Amino acid sequence: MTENATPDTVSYLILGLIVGFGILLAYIGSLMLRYRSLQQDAQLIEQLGEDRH
Amino acid sequence: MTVSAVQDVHIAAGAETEKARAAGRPRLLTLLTIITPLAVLGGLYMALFYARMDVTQGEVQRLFYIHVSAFSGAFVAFAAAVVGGIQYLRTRQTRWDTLALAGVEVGFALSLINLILGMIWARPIWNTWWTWDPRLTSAAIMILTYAAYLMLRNGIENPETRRRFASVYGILAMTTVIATLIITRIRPDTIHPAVIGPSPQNAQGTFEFGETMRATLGLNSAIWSILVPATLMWYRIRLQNMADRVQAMKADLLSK
Repeated sequence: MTENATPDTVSYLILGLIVGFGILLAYIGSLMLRYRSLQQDAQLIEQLGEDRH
Repeated sequence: MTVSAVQDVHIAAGAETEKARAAGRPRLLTLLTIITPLAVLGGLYMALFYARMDVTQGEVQRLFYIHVSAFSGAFVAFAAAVVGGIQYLRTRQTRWDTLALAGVEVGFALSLINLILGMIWARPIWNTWWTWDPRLTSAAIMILTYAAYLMLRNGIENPETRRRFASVYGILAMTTVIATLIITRIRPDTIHPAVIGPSPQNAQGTFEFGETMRATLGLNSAIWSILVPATLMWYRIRLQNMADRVQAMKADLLSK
């Protein structure tokens, strides 16, 4: 019976997985980028401190 | 930043963050960093290949395992923000405020995953990306409430005022999470299916919950509500400790 056939929704599954894990990876990436940026700031401040002495 | 604000950061952050830096990355965090992605991939494998496919919805129903589990994780993270807020107001120790901030940020990311996966699932099942259903509306209000937390927090210059404000806000914001959780029970007009217990009479997109589905949801919920928020929040706390340390170093440099 065609009216009871399982709909083809695999494209929505793929879209959902890409977007869902994309958000997760973007958040992890933002954590890494912010941490790296702070590390660079810390190095710069340490360097400035040494230059003053 | 004012001089008093800089001094405050300097005093609060100094000892704790220096200790954290000296310790490097704790062994437990390294373990979590390895285990959590593997567990997430294992849960995904179960969702895609182990759980029985629902014949009425097709493959898109498999998003349900991540959709529900992401909300569980968000709930845990927001609850951590409440604990952090209460403890900060009691003790005035900055580490509790850092926990609250980490909880809100991680909870926000996970609830965004929950909402967007729900929208993608709704398109073929409800024939629309979005509808102003009570559950969807309360979830949107919840996300906007926490987005406002993150924005308003950054707008307050005085650290002490900022932490106090954020603590109270984080505690009160939990009401939106609880409302989102229970709204399918108190609003019978919702079309959103319930995960635990019987769905509302108007629910659309319900399915028969088989053995393999139950096991897959159980495992994914455990992974997303324990390992994922714990790992992400730990890294967010480290980031905040680093930011506090840099702030203290700046203050130190300026005072010389």
